[in-house]
Amino acid sequence: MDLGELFLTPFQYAFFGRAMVAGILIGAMCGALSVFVVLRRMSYIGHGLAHSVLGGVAVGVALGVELYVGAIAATVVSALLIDRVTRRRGMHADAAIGIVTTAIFAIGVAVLSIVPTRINVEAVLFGNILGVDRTDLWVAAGVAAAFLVILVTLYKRLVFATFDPEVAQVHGVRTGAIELVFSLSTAAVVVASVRVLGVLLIAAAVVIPAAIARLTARSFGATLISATVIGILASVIGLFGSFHINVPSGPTIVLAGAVAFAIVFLVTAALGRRRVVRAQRGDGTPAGGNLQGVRSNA
Amino acid sequence: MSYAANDSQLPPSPCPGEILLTGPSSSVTSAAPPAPLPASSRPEQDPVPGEPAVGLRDVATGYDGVSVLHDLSLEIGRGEFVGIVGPSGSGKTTLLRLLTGRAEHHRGEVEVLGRKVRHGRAPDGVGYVPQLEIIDWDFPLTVEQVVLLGDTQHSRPVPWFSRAEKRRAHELLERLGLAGLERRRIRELSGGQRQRMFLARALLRRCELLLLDEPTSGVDLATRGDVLRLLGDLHHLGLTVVLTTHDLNFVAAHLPRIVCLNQEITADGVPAEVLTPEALERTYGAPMRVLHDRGRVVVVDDEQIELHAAPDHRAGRVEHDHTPDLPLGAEAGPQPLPGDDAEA
Repeated sequence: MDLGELFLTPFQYAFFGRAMVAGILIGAMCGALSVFVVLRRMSYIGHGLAHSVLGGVAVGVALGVELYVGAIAATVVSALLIDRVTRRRGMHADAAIGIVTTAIFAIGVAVLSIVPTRINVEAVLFGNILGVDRTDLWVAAGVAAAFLVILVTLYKRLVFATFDPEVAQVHGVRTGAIELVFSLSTAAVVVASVRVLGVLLIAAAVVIPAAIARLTARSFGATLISATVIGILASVIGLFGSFHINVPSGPTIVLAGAVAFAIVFLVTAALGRRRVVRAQRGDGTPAGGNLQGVRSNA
Repeated sequence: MSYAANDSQLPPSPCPGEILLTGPSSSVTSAAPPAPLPASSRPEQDPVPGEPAVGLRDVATGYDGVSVLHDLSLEIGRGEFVGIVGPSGSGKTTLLRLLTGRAEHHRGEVEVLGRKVRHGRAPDGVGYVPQLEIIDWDFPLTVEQVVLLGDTQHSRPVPWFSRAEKRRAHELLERLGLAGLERRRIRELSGGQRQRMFLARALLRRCELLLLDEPTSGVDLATRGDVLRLLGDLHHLGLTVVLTTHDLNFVAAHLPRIVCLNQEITADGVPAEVLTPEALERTYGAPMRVLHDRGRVVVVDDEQIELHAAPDHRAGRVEHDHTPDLPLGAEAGPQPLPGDDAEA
């Protein structure tokens, strides 16, 4: 297979062009979102909200409404309920996510068992680039535009509330509102991603990019940009893989990210070991950075 | 990028007096009158002058039906330096939460800088330094970024900070002895540097009241002294400083006023008056001895706890006391205490 066949042939099909545009938008959104998800230690939220999508889609289709209407309703309800439950003292986010989203997923499974529908369950679970239509593109573009506006205008508040929510609140950041905006943004990104990534694989897409970026980037901005680029690359590679090996797009995108993580993890670990050995020999910069002169400032 | 100074455009001092610290143990060199704030960085409501920095009247608060603080009446004047002490769970952190609008009081009145505090709404003019232990030090932020976040409320809604904001942060970092560390990752800082960074973040916001939650916790003795000197400098510049601590001797030696707390105020005043065995037992529920050494008050734990020397496990050997041989299995069970009924 030559390069032309590898990269150009898929674009002879209209659905692949649509899937690529949607995949790039979704990869960028999931990559940027993953930084906040990972730093907030809420990796479970993507998993949970994606599961609730199935419930919403099943109930929506059974009621005869558009697929996205059910999905949006389910994720928004989930996000609001999670936000409400975690505000109660002593209830952690992971427990709230586990209860709320799994219950909505269970409703979906029950509805699918009782009501005969024409839902392609495998496509909902694992993603399907063949199914990406103009509506999906518009949804992805709309959510991406809204997410970008939120990220730009609330960037400082999001970072402050993620790093140190207590002090952020004292310093005038309305952390409750920021939490709600974050939850709803996550819900919107999840809904927009379902067609390409599938319900079961969104969780990885909102974790892996940030996990890779944190191994290499030094500042928050660099982490955010790296994770966004990694998300896009994983989507592009995964979509080509999906086309050529005839596997659902969700697994190939996630596998592209997972392989990248494994490579970066091994390389950075090896580099770290080399630095330690060099530092022990006394012929290089000490492991963990050059802290000479720091104590004198303390 | 140049940060060429243009004095006419310099941002105002974050605190009532201009901070002129030259290093970790510097003393105050001068205090300039406060510059007028530009409208963009002025608090929504200016604090009422002359009012106490903190005023609590008959306040009660708690969580989930459990009372944490009750009958709390306390007044802290502007420019005071106060230490809040008390055992774990006594309500020290809850008191700070009350003052910053993060805890709801179901009785009484809470006022900070002359304004009533409402739950969920942080009062203006308050800087806060959290416990170092609750921070994720692997968070990918640099020192400069953390400090700049301090004035997020008044910053433009864009992902970057202006030159003026950066210049002001750099000035504060320099004054707090952190010059040259602006681009260092926060995990690479020592305990003392971390405290200084958070102080810079608190000061970047125009603050009159500085609250610190356990600033001496988890730092070594040298750092503790360093932090105290810095707080002393800020206090002398007119800032009201309130901190919580478990370190009784630290507050006894250095702070002019101590408030003892255990769900209510058990003592309040200068260290020599407050740190008495009676007041401390009331606060901690355990006897404590108070020694006076060359005019200083030293509190020691009165409870005598005898720790047995650990057996010597080196080289796999255990040295036993020379006790008479017991029947097989006799040493395995609990030995009867003197006075126990032999038949029981």
